Amino acid sequence: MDCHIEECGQPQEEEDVMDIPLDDPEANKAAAKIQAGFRGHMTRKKMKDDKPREEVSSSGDALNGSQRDSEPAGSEGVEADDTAAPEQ
Amino acid sequence: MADAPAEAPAAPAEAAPAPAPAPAADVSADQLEDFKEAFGLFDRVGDSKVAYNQVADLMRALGQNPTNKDVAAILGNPSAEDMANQRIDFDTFLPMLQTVINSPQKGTYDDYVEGLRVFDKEGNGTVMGAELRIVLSTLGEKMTEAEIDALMTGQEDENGSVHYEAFVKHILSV
Repeated sequence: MDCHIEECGQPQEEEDVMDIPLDDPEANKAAAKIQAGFRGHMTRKKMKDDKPREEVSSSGDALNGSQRDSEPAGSEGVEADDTAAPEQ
Repeated sequence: MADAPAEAPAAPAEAAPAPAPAPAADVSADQLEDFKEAFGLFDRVGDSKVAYNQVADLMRALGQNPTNKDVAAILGNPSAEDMANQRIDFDTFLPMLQTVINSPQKGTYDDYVEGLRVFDKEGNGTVMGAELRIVLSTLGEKMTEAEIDALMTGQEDENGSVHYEAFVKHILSV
């Protein structure tokens, strides 16, 4: 670390430790792919937690009816963050 | 009754979703039933439709990992208003899902591991949890703190490091 004093305009240490390539399109593309995988995983995990019975092939109505009331997977929490309007 | 029958405008102002030319033959009857069931679960209005802004999660529930950008493109890059208000039925949704299923860009174990390896400064199979959190919240399709917390729960060891190969296996297991 050469730069503790005020000669440098910015905190050099931060730059070294967190050299996150904010503008690199490849890095962003790789990040987006990873994030997509993560979001997929989390949605499926939530649905699994919310739906204790995997697939009950009884009268679909009863299952669907109760599921509708209890709201699947708390999807609102996982909803795409690019929507401003809350879901009704 | 009105004199003239109500007609839909010839050219709708808002962007209509572009249905993808996906072969329906790829889907088995069982899969179709699964898709329909999931679709039904997401219909909270009872009109046999789901909102644009539910499509991404619905696809994720069905085992896919589209980016939000992918879904927006499939939906015809709708406005935020359309995302909240427009709804589609199952027949409209199915080819969209198939586009994603057939997408050649799907993330594999190797993709994720290689993507994370970039941040493995010591080349020892771990990344700092703190750094990963920053990456997830500042790059790509930024994740919220809540999302990141949910994701990282139990993934950091006593040093705050994430063993990313195991992490990716865990991600891919669900």
